Amino acid sequence: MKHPIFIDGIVTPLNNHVLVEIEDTYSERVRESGVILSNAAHDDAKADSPGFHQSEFVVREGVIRAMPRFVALEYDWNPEDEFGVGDRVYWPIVNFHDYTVLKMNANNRVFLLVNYFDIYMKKVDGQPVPVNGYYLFTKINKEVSFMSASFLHNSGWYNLKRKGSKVNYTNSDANDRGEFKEGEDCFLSVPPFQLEADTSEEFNEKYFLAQKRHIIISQKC
Amino acid sequence: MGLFGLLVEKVHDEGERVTPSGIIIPGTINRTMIKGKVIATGEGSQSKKMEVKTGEVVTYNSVTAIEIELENKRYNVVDARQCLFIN
Repeated sequence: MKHPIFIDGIVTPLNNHVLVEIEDTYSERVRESGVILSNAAHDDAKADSPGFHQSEFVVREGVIRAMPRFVALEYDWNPEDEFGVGDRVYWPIVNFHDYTVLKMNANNRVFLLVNYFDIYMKKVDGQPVPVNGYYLFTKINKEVSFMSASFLHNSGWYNLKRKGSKVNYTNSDANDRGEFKEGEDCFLSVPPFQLEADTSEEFNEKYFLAQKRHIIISQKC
Repeated sequence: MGLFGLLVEKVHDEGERVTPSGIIIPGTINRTMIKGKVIATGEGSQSKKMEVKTGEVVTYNSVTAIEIELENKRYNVVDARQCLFIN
């Protein structure tokens, strides 16, 4: 892990960041069969692997060890403290390289300063629970006859599996956009985040995450 | 002082560190991020309050800091939004 900042104990993060403890997955992995998988996410591999950021080694989950004193809202919803110290949380890998790495001096624990609003899911009793306005979907194959080709290119029908429980839009207009129930089929206007590889395996399902505001049509089953 | 300005006094950081495996990391490495004791703070704004209090030690990026001299003492003026964490 390159250029970590050393700390002596748990610190209080600032500016909408949370302190997340991670397992250091930067080094290579050895399969049971003895095959060594090198770390394609490492900076040195950039030139050789244009898709380095898609590596399964990129850290995208951890346990929260400290929260900021308060969260300044950046969007039009109020997250109402959906997660806290001790929660196992997940974030999309797209922003990973912006995160600051902290390493505890005495016992070699590794932490990341992760943006509060990047976190899209937490694990409760072994089940995925979306947070920060995200909804959890599974992909379904459904014929689309009413949308233009430009929409179809990036979106599609998804089945709403689970909603975040504590999200209120601060803009009252947004609250009137409709309530969606778990089990409904929803058409998303943007491509959702997909839980990658081992994260999906953990939950035995291929899940997708998108925000409520990206649902443009729903169909009750 | 600006809304998010911090007047900080540099804290002398400890020198070399030894990792559990015995590797010695010299004290000169990683000096971009430095510690400072907060002497005075701005008021923050309505939408974003000032998170840091006077007397606390913060870690910040020295590249973004401005060095000033007051009464023969050197201080840094830092934007609180550029600080990473409170130690």
